[in-house]
Amino acid sequence: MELSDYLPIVVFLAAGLVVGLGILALSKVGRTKQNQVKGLPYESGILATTPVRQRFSIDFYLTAMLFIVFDIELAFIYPVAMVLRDAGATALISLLSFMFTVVVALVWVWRKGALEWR
Amino acid sequence: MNVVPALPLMIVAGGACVALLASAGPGGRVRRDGPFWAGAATLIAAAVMSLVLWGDRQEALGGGYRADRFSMLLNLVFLAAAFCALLFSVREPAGVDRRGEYISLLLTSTAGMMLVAGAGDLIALFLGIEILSVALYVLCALEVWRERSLEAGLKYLIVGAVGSSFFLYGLAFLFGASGSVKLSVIGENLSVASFTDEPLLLVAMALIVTGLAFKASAVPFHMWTPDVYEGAPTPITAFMATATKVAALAAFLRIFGGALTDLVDTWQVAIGVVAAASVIVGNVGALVQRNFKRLLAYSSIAQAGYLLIGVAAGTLQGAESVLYYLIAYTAMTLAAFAVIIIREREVEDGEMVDALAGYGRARPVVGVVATVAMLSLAGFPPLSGFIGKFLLFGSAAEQGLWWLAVIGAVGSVVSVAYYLRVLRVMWFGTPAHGGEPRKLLTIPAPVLITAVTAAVAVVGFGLGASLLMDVCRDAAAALLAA
Amino acid sequence: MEGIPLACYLGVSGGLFLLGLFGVLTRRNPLLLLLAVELMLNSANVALVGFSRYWNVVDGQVFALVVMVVAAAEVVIGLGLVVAVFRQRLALDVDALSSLKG
Repeated sequence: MELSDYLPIVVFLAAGLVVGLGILALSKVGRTKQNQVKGLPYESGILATTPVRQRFSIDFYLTAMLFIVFDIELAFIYPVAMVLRDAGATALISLLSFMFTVVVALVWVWRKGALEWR
Repeated sequence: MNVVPALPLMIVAGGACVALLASAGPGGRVRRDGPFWAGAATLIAAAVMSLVLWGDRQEALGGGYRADRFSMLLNLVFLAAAFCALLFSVREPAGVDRRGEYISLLLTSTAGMMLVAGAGDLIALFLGIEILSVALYVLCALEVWRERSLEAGLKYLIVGAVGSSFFLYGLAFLFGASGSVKLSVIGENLSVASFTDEPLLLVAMALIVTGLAFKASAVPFHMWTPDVYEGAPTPITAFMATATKVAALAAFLRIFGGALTDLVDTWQVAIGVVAAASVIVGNVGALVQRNFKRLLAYSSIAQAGYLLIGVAAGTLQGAESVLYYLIAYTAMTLAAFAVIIIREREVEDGEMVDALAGYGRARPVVGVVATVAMLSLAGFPPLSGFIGKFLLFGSAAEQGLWWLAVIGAVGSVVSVAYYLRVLRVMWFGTPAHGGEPRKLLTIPAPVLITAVTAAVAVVGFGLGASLLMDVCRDAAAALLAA
Repeated sequence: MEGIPLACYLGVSGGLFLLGLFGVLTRRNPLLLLLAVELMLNSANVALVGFSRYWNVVDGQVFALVVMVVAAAEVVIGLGLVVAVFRQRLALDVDALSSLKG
């Protein structure tokens, strides 16, 4: 690809910038009126029925963190899968030993009860 | 694929898995004692394997790991430090409640250090640094009921991660300047073409020095050290102060002493300035500390400075002095921390220098251990600390770096003041509440044995210096071996 | 080399790195600090991939993959510590309340 092929991206970015800045600039022009409807949260949506700034349960964070840890292993598994045919047994054994350590971690997490949703 | 040279590394990593599984085991004895024995057996097995592999370079893991005399010698240092930390942790609060996690993380961190010492390419180097750091972040925070401990962990994590980013960015530029991640190829590529003026390479070296200075707690990136050392559980502080410093210096030697050795003129002054600043800041900071852990933290900043003086020399002689001093430093620092660990269990404020008032008279054995450690850290002959400093400053002076040698020597003289202050309090001080030091409990045998062994090692390394120097010379030569 | 010149990669990467550094130096919230550090690590990834293309070797890309995983591990530890601190503060607060009630 030539550098000029990326021109559409630049045009897109420029257009986005113009629209965004334009709206900002227009809002400064002329007088603005405040009324009750404008001040509502979610101007064009429905009213929130529960407190919006509610805290999540801490278990949510725990599960989310565990998800990230186990999810990111894919970054290694996918490349190995791509070259498995050429790299052969070496790649497979490496991957399996890696997976083994991940399973050890999983067993530990499980036994410690971190997977239970309380 | 040849995995044999990487066996020590794999044994330790496997041991970490076993310890973790044991802690989640079927309860009872396995859960209580399993991790400890798994950890001890792992460390011993890895040490034996390292001795077996002592010899010329063997590559493993596609050249990512190099088992040579350099990495095997440092393996032994890491394993010894981990073993001491393991013994220090017997009946330690953090060690009791979460024994499996504690020991597993200790082993993981050790494996990371071993990977750093034997790194054959930049990826392994970065990975090793990260494995050791990430495990240590958690270890620092493991006493979750203590807010200080948690804050130490969080602080260490943020500062450490920033350091890692600098280091990584430097490695990326080093890769960009040389076109390879293999340390040996980088050396060749850069020495063939005269790349010395290439801005990319200069930026790379500056970033790498910055990143590693974070890890070695050298000035100007030392600010985290006293807080983290103070907040972390003391056995972990002892492990951090010794093994992490050894690993960071190993990385310095691998990159600057090994791969970039031909560009010594370019990086010599930069590392020299960092070294001099560390010596000054560390020693001045330690003078006013009343907390023994903080005092040792500042002292360790100064020690990092002494060690970097040897790196700045950029010669084989410099590298072997660094290795010798690393070994001596590990022994004397472990001995010093053992004193805190023992006292800390007896009284609430055991980490304060004043809590040791009259302690030497009440417990002569601990007193002697502390005396040996402090005198060696201050650099009194014939202890190993003196010989190490003598070699380090000598190697710098030989390269015409007189200013560095002088700053190092003056720093050591200043350091005598605060090291001897500890000893004065210990032997001649009177406890605040009169008479005897408060509450003397029985010292757990493993802790006492470790403390005495470390002190004996400090003396032994001094008396047998020529023998140890021969070993270090072989190890340093492996850095440059093709 | 065809396509985007190396300078573009380095420009983006350098910009991200400085942005992250700026964040680290100016923010005090641990979560935002983690975010900034993540930015710094990933800026190195951009540089690595750029250099990898420039030299036409895959090592840099492998490095970038490793860095991604490491960065994820680091950020999870960070989040875990933040949650632990939060939990402990909460526990302290609860204690304070009960002691007030007598």
